[in-house]
Amino acid sequence: MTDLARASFEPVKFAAPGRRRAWLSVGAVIVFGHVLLAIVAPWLPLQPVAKQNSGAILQGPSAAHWLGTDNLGRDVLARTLFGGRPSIGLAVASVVLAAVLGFAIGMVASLAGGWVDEVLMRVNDVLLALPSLLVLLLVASFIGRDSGVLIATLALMYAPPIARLVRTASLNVLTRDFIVAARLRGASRRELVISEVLPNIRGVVLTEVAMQFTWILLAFSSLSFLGLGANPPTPEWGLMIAEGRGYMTIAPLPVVAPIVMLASLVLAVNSTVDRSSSDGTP
Amino acid sequence: MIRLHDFSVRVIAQPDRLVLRSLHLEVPAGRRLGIVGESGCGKSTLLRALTGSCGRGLDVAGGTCEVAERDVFALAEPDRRALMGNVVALVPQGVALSLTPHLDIAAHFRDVYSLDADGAHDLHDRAAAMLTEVGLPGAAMVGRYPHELSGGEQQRVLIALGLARDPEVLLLDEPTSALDVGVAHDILSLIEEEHRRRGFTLVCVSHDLGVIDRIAEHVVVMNSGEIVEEGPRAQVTGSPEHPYTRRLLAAAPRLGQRHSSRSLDASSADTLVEVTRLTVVRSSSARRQLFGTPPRTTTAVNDMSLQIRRGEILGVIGESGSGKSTFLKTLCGLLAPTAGALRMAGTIDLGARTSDRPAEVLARVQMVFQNPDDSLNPAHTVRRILAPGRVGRKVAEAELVRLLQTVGLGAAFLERRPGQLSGGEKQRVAIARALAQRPELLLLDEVTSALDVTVQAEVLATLLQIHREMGTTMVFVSHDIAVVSSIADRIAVLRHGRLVELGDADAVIERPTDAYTTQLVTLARRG
Repeated sequence: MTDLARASFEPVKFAAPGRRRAWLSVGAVIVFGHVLLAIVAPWLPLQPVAKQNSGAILQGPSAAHWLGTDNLGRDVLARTLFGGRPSIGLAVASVVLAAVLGFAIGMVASLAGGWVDEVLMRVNDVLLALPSLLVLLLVASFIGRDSGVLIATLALMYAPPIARLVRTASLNVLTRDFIVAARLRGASRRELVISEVLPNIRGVVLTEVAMQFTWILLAFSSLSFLGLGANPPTPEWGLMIAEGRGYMTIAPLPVVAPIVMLASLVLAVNSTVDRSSSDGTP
Repeated sequence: MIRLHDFSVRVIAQPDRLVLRSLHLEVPAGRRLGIVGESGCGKSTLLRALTGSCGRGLDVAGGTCEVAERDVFALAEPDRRALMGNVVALVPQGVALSLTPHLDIAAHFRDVYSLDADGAHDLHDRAAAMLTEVGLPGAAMVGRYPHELSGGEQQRVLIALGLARDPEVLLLDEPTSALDVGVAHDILSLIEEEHRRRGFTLVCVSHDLGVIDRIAEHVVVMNSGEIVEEGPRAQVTGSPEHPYTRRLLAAAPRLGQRHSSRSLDASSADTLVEVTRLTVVRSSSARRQLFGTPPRTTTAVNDMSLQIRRGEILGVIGESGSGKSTFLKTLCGLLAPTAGALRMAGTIDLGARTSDRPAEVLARVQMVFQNPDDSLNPAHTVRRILAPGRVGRKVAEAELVRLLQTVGLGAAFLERRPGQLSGGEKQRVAIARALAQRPELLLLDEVTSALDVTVQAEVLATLLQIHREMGTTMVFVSHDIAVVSSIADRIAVLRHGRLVELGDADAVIERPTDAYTTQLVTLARRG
């Protein structure tokens, strides 16, 4: 008996489905909580984010400052809750743009084939090979740091993996007989893409887009950490980590709080995506 | 040698669902047992159970399963392995998936012989000897990789691997599915010869009554997890007692057993499509390359001329690589002819690709595909499949229901998705989708080859009814001469891209003029 034949005879144990769905909802609840907090932060009874207090710097948690204060005496809780707004907003905008761009490139490449496909994919490969943080640093240094430029650059740098996936997935679908049937009834290209291909690749593409969202989030926070993203005194997680790290031994909370927020959001998105993609349901 | 007593297997997740229901079966040593049944009847699960494993998500619900006087499910794992290694051998289904692509043939034998005390000692010689025994050039074959072998050769290698340790029981799962008729015939001869030589107990599972009829001396008929009939071959296939067996036998297509009404006077019918000296050259890679070597080309259809008459069912027979699919794809515009002409109704040029055909020409030629799982968009409902872009319009409702009724389905199917349909139902929906365009020419590419025999008979009957009622001209392509002869008015035989025979169905079956057709007919009569 061959390896494969024997392997297929091994008993397979199935994980209890209930437990894994619970994990999905935990991740989804955390993601939802993050988004909700970022949206309602201005209406919460918080201390002003930019108000400095030289009399109360680097304090521990107290009734007035639940998470203490940073090196300028600003309220860490308020800054942490506000800190998600620029990151999440910018990452969502960039990833939507990257998704549109990646979908368009991947779809055109797979539909056209031939030299169009070759050219698009080689350009794609070049973009994939560039270290995105380096490109972001150069763009932020020489072109500018306003959010429009950053969103455009992030979208361009994170579209290639989406384009590649869309191309592969749609090539898979395009060889199937129902596509031929659609061609035989005279379906237009738009109809082919929208109603025949898209419903069948939606799941994998959404998964990839969600993964790219976490990468963009981390990239923007890294950029802020390096001083080329958000401008002080804007509260932003990466910037907060950069500002607080010098005093970490005295007051760890100004660094720990944004790290916990960033890490929990990334982990929650990943686990939600992971769960839903292995479920087969978007 | 094999003894099942009140043996049941259930689905772990749904303990009430039994896949095998209290089976009783005794197979004496040396006997050739054939198990026949349709997909989902439990025949493959039974075969797996004989190796001491039920497979994914299943477990034993009760009873015993003894092989060589040992209850295989009561054995400890090392003992079970020893039994499987030395006494029982399984030749799995699906040749393409059963050999490991990155290992050469010798490595597959190393796996088998590693159980011996002397290990891989003189591995190559022993492997070569086994391969020679199954009719392959042994010494030349050991160093080759699975992808270098044809389907028939792969099947022979699998049989050689199964026989390598001289088992007392050989289990065969669908040994000839996916093989061309001639090759399948040779494989069955090989199995018979090996049985005569080695005298093992043979258990062969197949959906194909022809295979079982040929190879078994004792036949078991299974339906929904139960043994419905059991007995000597001549008795079961000659005078079946159970109604299910009778249905199965009646559904199996026989040469020259025509269902067609023959209303058409062939000589007076005018020509719908005129094919003149058609040649289609295909390149090995469908996608043009910017870099790299130019793709290899093969002439898939070579200088073919024929007429498709209005209102007839033209049967096209050929084995894989004969050009029959290429012919269909050219007719519907998926491929462009390299040379020659295709004219419809005298004026319309069918040489144009789909993208260049006007909408009304496109609609005239529709196609139904081989693989039911591939031909319907899994994301859409049947309603959307039949009426794309017209969803929600009330006018279409009655029309859609009528369309479904034409193919033997009802309004209840409109909201279902392909995942909720059986193979036969999928093919019916695919036929309805083609009919929705009101085609003059319906191309049917192996539409029944993925279906069970009883379902196949029903789909063929539906096609004939559509033909009677709507008069649609059909081109029915199949590798199975018996299926084609049961439905076609005329038969065309293709081989290596050339038309080798064309004539009235009866004439081709009764008095084939070409040597290849004669061979096909002879094999079909015997099987």
